[in-house]
Amino acid sequence: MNTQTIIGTLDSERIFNEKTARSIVNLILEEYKPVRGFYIYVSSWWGAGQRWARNTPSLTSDRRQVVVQIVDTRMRPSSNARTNQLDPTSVKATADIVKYYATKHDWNKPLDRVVDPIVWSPEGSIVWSDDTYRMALEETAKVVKGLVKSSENEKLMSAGFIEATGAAALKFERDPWGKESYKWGSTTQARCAATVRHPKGTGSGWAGKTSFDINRLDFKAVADIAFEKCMNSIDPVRIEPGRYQSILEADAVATLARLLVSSLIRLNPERGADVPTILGADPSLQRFRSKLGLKLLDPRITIYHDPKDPLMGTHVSDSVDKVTLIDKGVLVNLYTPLEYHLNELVDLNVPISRSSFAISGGSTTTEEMISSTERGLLVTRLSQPQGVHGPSLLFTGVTRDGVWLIEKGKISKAVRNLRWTESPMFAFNNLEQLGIQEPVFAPVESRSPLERGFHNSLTNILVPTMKINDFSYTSTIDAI
Amino acid sequence: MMNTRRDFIKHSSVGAAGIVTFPKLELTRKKPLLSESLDIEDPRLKQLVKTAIDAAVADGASYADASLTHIYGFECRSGSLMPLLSEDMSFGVRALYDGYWGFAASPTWTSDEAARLGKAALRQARINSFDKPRQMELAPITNMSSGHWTMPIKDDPFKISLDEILDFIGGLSSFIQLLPETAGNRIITTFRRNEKCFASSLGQNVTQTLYFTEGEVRESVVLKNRGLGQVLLETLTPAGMGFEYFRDQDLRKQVLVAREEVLEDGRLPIEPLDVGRYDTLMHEFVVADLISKTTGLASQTDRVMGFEANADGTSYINEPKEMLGAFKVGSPLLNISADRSEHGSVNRVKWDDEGVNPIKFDIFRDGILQNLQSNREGAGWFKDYLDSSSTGYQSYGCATTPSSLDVPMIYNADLTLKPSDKATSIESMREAMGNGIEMRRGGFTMDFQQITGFGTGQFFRVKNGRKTAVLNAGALLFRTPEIWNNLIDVGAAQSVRRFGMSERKGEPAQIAYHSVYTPPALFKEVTVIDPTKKA
Repeated sequence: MNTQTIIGTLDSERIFNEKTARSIVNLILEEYKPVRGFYIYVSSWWGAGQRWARNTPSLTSDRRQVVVQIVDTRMRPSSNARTNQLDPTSVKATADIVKYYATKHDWNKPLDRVVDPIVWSPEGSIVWSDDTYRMALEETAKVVKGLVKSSENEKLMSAGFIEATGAAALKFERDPWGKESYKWGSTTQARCAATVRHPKGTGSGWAGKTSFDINRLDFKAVADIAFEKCMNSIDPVRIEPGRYQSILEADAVATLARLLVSSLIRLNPERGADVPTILGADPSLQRFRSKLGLKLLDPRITIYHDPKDPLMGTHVSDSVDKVTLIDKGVLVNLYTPLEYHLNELVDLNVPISRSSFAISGGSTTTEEMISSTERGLLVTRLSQPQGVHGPSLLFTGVTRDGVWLIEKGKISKAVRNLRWTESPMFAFNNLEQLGIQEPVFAPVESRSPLERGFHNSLTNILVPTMKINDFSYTSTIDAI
Repeated sequence: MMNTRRDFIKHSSVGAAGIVTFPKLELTRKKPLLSESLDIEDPRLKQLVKTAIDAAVADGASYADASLTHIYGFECRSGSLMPLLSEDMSFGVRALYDGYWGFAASPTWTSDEAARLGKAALRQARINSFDKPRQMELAPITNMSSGHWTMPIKDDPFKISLDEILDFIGGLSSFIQLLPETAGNRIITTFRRNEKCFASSLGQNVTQTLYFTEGEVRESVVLKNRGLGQVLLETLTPAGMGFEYFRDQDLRKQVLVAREEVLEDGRLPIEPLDVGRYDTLMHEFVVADLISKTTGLASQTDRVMGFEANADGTSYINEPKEMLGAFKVGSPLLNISADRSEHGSVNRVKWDDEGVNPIKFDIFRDGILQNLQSNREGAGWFKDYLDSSSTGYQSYGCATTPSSLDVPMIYNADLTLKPSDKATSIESMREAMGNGIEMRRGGFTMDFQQITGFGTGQFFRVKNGRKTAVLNAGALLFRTPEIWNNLIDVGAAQSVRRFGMSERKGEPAQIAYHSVYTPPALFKEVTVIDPTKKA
């Protein structure tokens, strides 16, 4: 075996297949024959993308990466090492390092059980698209050329990117009792986002979408929305900050929802977090768990994770089955790290990390929301959220890429961006109308090269547009 | 004779003909070969990058460059004294065709892969052409040089026994554990060595060995009637140093001083903060974050020109050609220079990731915008201005790629706020301020044009030149030109401290680091709000 046969020279061999992954694992197993209590994770990632700015392509790229990680869990703490070289010498030497440090355990600490940060997608989940995997940049180049046309004609400036990624991973595990298991998964993701700006910086519009299937992305619609938002937001006027009935488009809702969902984790409040959180101990009841079963949000809101929904799943997922966190406004589940599962022996059928999630939708269209608004704002995106009060989950940030004033059921004018100061708890309790659930643009968090394509780097969010009463804006800002 | 990693390139017997692989870590050794490095100067590596460049040029590239990075690192933590070791080898090739860039990268260092990457990069560039060239110009490299440079460090962490590092951490952790009022501690050390090989179709070939060291020493202390206080050393932010970064600082003494300060603050009364405008004394770390975001990010040519509009944003420098040399952002005390040659800087290099020797230049002088941070293409956009400037038409050497899997982009150089000539210290500035507030720790979030800022952190009331109370809520709200125009004093050279900071950029996002050198600074009439108050 050599590296070149693993990541092929052909576009059809952008990531490795299960057979190849198993052969890498077998190489390591030769070194790890007698050992019980370890796992091996091998993954492969490919990403191709096209960026454009000032109405012309600025960079087209094709990148590939592989990762081999070996974790020896016989003793606590676990010994582990990783490499991106797949030649036999490198792989075996990595195993050698792990074995060496596994002997340097601390005898005073208890045996570590297998700590598995990953639960794999169940059989039958479909998060793979051949068309995404075969995306040819020659085709996207033509698409981009078309996308920037309207901006060029109107002397606006378009910037954006289209990206397709594919990832596959195999996990081999031999538990402390010698039981072996192989888990294999693969996934694709396509993303497109565009920003159109006035060259003098007096207007800006944005749109973006994500899907595992590139055919479900309407590139032209993304570009058209960004263009129209820019055209309609030129020379915005200042309005008084205050409380406005606000129609938050799905991407703005996703920002707010992410702040809430990421706080629903069991570990920190019990172990003593650095900052107080929404789940902090209730002084009257002494235990944070008492919040389970309490009504937190509007009863129309249900938040769940469903690995069998391809628009939400990835090859490595949060849970085996669909898990509901907030059911009709009531908190019914908390994210629970596996270490907590093991130490506290709690039910394992709850999600272990925070990534993909969905909020149930309604049936009201954005147009219907606008027409039923006497005076309010239409908001494209909420940006740069910063926590200011943990227990009430209060955040502040700024609006971005298009805000409009609605008067008497119609959009009357573009307004300047505003600083918002609000809690998702408050907002999701002041729900006026609920739109149709839709997937939103999912930015991938920055990672070091070795972590790219490693573990669950894809987060997919499905949320509806929401009309919220009394959304709080505390100042105007100059940025457009 | 036992093979070492210097004998690393061989023709694999198991692969196809011509495949080059690294034996890397040897099975005969029972210890990891942290002490050994591959030889980045090996002529066969030069051949590898040349193969990639030749492949791109043969297919029509007007310019091509190729780079290899070998990043080896480990992290040790107290409480889990087992290191996490990682190794990353990447190969990236950039090609230019009709003004369009193409980029291809993979982890495979073989001659066949080199040729594939060269052709793939050119193919990526060519597909955008449609027979219509893109208008762009790469600034020339003045005094182009080749060779090797190793970042000077004292104690190479990869040549020190890992046991010694683990012992050091364990010793410091035990020391803290025995202190009164302690409620736990956490110590993390991170070391990375990045070996780079860069070559371009201009005939240049350079190799560099760079080091990255970062640490965290954190302790929780029990404050009387006030829960836990956090002791955090600010002296271990990312730096271009070796293990001496830990060993040569008296960390035990620093812990004692820092915890004494926390305990002392814990004895101050807690008072509410009335919103209003206050003279504000900012500690060095806070000023560093302000400099990085309001002057550094805003002065990157690609952000200014809208190339990051769809990612992290643009800049308040929206009419750069009119604003250069004329736009007043701050008071005459605002003097920010950029450089990548200072010892200890995390961003220190001899050549940037386009083969350019970075130069020292002013971004702001006497409060006025002088220059933008640039790479070769970015300098090309401002050719006329640079032609008439004292530096001449050239890139300032701000191209950075975290690894060869990433694309070179303009990142912040190491930034310095010029200190005062007077003998000012934080104590004398506090005294001179008389009444106001003091901000320690924390940082700023800026909007997507770096105009409006929001700062949170630890605030104290200062009355008659003395800290009198801890303020229980508060945040700064400002516009960039407003806060820098209200800069009324900066500390002396003796009070300058260095902090390593990270910067996220691009789509997909990639992260690089830079250092900021700054003294404490005093601002008049900064707007302070109650951030928890809604409309």
